[in-house]
Amino acid sequence: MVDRIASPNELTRRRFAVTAAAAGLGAIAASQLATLNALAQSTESVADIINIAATAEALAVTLTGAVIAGAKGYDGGRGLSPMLVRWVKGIQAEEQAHYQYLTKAGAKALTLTFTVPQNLVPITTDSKALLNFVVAAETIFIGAYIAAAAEFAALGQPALAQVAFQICGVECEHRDLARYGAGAVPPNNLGFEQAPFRTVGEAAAKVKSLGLLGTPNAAATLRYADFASTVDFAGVTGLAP
Amino acid sequence: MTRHDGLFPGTLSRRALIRAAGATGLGMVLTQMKTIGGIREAAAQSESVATIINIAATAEAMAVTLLGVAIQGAASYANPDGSQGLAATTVAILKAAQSAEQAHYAFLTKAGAKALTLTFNIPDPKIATATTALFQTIEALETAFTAAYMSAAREFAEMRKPDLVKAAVQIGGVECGHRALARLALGDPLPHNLAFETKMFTQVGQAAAALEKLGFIGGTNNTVVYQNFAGSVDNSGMSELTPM
Repeated sequence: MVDRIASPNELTRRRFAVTAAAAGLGAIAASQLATLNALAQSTESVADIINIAATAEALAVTLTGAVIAGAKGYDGGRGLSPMLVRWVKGIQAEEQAHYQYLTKAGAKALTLTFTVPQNLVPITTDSKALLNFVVAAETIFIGAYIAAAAEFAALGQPALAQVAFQICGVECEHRDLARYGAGAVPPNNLGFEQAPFRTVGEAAAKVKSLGLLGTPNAAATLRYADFASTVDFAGVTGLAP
Repeated sequence: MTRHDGLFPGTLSRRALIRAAGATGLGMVLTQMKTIGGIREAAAQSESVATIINIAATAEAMAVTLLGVAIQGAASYANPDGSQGLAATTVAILKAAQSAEQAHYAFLTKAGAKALTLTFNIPDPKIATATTALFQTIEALETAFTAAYMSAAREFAEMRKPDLVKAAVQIGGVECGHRALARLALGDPLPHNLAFETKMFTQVGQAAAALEKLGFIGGTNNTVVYQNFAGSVDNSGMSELTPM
């Protein structure tokens, strides 16, 4: 039960995942851009949500980009398997699609520079640590998307709730596949997706505490701009809601 | 890119079936006591909510039944490479999916839903004998289930029922995972091929109609009954069998 481990590192990972989940909100379909733009201007909470989402999406694109760039160095030089590299590229493409739609809707990432804290260095060198991190992160993302869908419903925005669903489902796929990659049996171990957050802001607060948005003595500093242009969309469809 | 649903000559029918399955997932929304209360209240106020949850219960029962057929016959499936029998990991995935669908059904019926039928049909006998046909069908059904949940979430949002929306997303997300794992079983190099889940329906009822068209409900061939499989659902390794 990979995602049930409650180590301090995993808690941190989950916070990170929340950010990514929030980023997914940016995926609001082009058809909803006008609605989202209007809401962002008139409702502070919606603006906060989509800005957090854009930040998280950018973070996800950046971290997956770093994984892809360093794929050959994992596991003592054996490298990530071609299957895992392909999957990570697919995840990156999907998060980038979310980011692009979010920013088209008027969202602005709070930062496009991210850090890898010392305690998360293993995710850059060990495939097992990486996959467990992905599971935890996606669990946070999912929780954030669920919160966003409920918030949009409360705001009387059913179309936006639908888009949050469309993004959330993709994050659920990522979670199950990461569990599969980690050897968890069964990978689809949930009857209902977990929903620990009442608001997207709660998820964002967890992400902040992970140290990925800036931390002293960082092991690495990564910039979204260094990875965004090399995203590989091969095989990915449904790039807009 | 591989599009497995395109492999089905009867894509429309299969999609209709999937829609019905998706409706089943909606029953999961009822899991939380608060949510159950909300659904009961909404069902009392709105015919559409009652219709949705009844369809959902029907679809969940169908999913439990069809997965039960696959699990029961796992050892005899014909694989594309000529070998026989589903792999152990694949059977574990099928059992987990059945457990999740049963959890959805249990909570839906606790909320007052009544399945329209508990007797179903297997329109294509290869679903019960050929590995590729099985997982192509599952992929198509889960795509439809996801779309049905999506429609339910939107309909609940239109009613300003955030708790029900939350539950619909919790269920729909599980179906999305099933979809990706079905694609994995088919050997697709990119099981998670979507950036946004596919919208197929504007109402849950459309999914139910599709299922009926496909012949999974109200058909004449290969009759299977929910009660013959519900008692043997295996919850090993599962968690979150009710919504948080």
